Order: sequence, then C-alpha cells, then structure tokens
Amino acid sequence: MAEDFLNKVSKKASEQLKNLKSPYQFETERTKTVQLRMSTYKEVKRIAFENDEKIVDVLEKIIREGLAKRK
Amino acid sequence: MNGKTLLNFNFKGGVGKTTLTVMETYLLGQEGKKVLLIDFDPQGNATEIMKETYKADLKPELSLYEGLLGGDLSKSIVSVTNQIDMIPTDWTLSLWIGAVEKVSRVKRNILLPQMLSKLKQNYDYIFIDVPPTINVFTNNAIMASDFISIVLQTQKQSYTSSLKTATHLGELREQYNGSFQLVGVILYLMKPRAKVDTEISAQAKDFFGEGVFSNSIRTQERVKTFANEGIRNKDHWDKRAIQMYQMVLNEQLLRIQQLEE
Repeated sequence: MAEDFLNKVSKKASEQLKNLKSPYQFETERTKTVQLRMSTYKEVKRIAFENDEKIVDVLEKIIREGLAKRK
Repeated sequence: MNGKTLLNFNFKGGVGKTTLTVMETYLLGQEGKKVLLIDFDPQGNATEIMKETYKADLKPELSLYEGLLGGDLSKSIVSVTNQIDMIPTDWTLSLWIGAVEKVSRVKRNILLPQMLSKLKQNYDYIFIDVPPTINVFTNNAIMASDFISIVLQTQKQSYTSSLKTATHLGELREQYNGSFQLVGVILYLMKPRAKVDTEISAQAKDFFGEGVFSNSIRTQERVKTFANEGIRNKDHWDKRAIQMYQMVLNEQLLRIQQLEE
C-alpha cells in the first residue's frame, strides 16, 4: 500500500514510543549464533548495557550500518 | 449496497467511543441510511443506550457469542427501526476470547471480517463498538473495518494511547496486508479552554497534522443524559448536543469520500 496517512503516523508514533512493538506482532525474527572476538564482545556488551538494549539489537544496527556502507 | 464499515477507536477507555458510535448510528438512521451497529464490547454499553433510545427489548434469536461460534451473525441481528439494525451483546461475549484460543494465532484475528462480508451488501454503513483494549475483539473489529478514526480525549494518557493505537493499526495492517484506512483523529475536549486541553490539542495537531478533525466533541451535560436515558431530540440542549455530533459525522464522511477518490 502507498505511503498513506496511517503508514506515516504509525511509523512516527513507533519512533516516538522508542520503537515499542505491539504484543500482537506475530513472532520475532529467528536468530543464528555468530562468533565474536572476546574484546569486541565485551565492547558490544558494554554498549548494550549502557543503552539498555539487547545485544542482538546492538549488533544488528552495527552490522546493518557496515553493510550499507559497503554498497 | 456495499456497506462501509467504520470504527471509532482508541485503546484508552472513557474517551467517548461508544457515545460517538451510537450517535453516528442514530444520525445516519435519521438521514435514511441503512445502518448496522455491532456491539462488540462485552460491557454492552452501546446496547444499553440503544435500548433506552428506542425503548426496544433488543433480543436476537441467537446471542452475538452464539452467532460467532456458529460463524454466522444473521440470527444475531435485531431490527431497531426501519433504518437501523443492531447486533446487541451481553457479557457472555467475553467467553469468546477462550473459544478462539483453539484457532491459529493468525486466523483468530480475521473471523469477524469473514462473517461480516456476507452482511455488507444489506447496509450503507456498519459501525462496530469495541472495548478499550487491544485483544481479539479489537483486532477482529480493526480487520473488519474499512475506515478507522482515532478518538483522542484531551488528556496525556489518551494522547499516549493514541500513539500506541496508531502503531498497532500500522503493524496489524502490514502483517495482514489489510486495506483499512485511517480517517483521522477526533478530539474530545474535556474543558476546551483549560490548560491541559489546549496543550494536548496542540500536541495532537503537531503530531497528526491535518489528520486532526476540524470539528471536535466537547463535554456536555446533555450527552451524559443521553448515555443514561437514551438519545432524544426535543429541547434546545438536545439539539445543540446532536448538532455537535452531526458536524463530526459530516466531516468524517467527507474525509472518507476523499480517501475513496
């Protein structure tokens, strides 16, 4: 569906609510285990702790950003 | 006829959803439109107001709960006037949450849309009144609707709830590839000139922009009487309250018309 009023306010509202997701989301995306060097892991863990985020979300953002720069 | 299904929603309670929905049913009935009102809230407040307004018993052959279990709502409809039909409810409807647990998570939110599709051809408009929450009732009502308006009472909690409501509507439509559209935001002003009302109105206009209706609903003692004793149109104060809802309805229909173009 085109970018209509609901799409716009829904995204904006989600951002304003700090990406709060509805409990009626079907399911979270599956994850896979990857290996990190211990020094990097400690750094990521610290960032996650300081930002009160899950490690998987911190890694997702960093990797996505890295991948986007490669393009 | 190919009825448009309308929903006035906010998952915060006490923001005037039921009164607005019943008033709009009443007004469209007066205009000669064929309207169906579904009371999809186990509290049954819409049913109570309709009973008082039309001094009707509103006893269907099958209760809404029984109709939902059988997958056919036709025997749960009662005729209120020549123009208005209703599917009344009672608290047995609350048992439906347990009954649908056996249905898959995906399918349980689209049971009502399937049942309503058979009835749409009989009506110009179908209104669904829902409880103030997000659960299988509201998700079904949302998925069965063509046009949804958010009702925002001018208080902080209602504003925050309206943001959550918008987020939920967006996610649900995306997940089910739904086609319902957001008509806009109807402001319910408690005290139009009070500081909180002014601030929240400004906040809502800043966030939702032109999505906020130009016409709003204001607290009126007469509206409370309507909720207790049914809608009536006799004296000046009745007419004044009804006129306020008429303006909101006119704008809502105009906005829907523009969305359809």
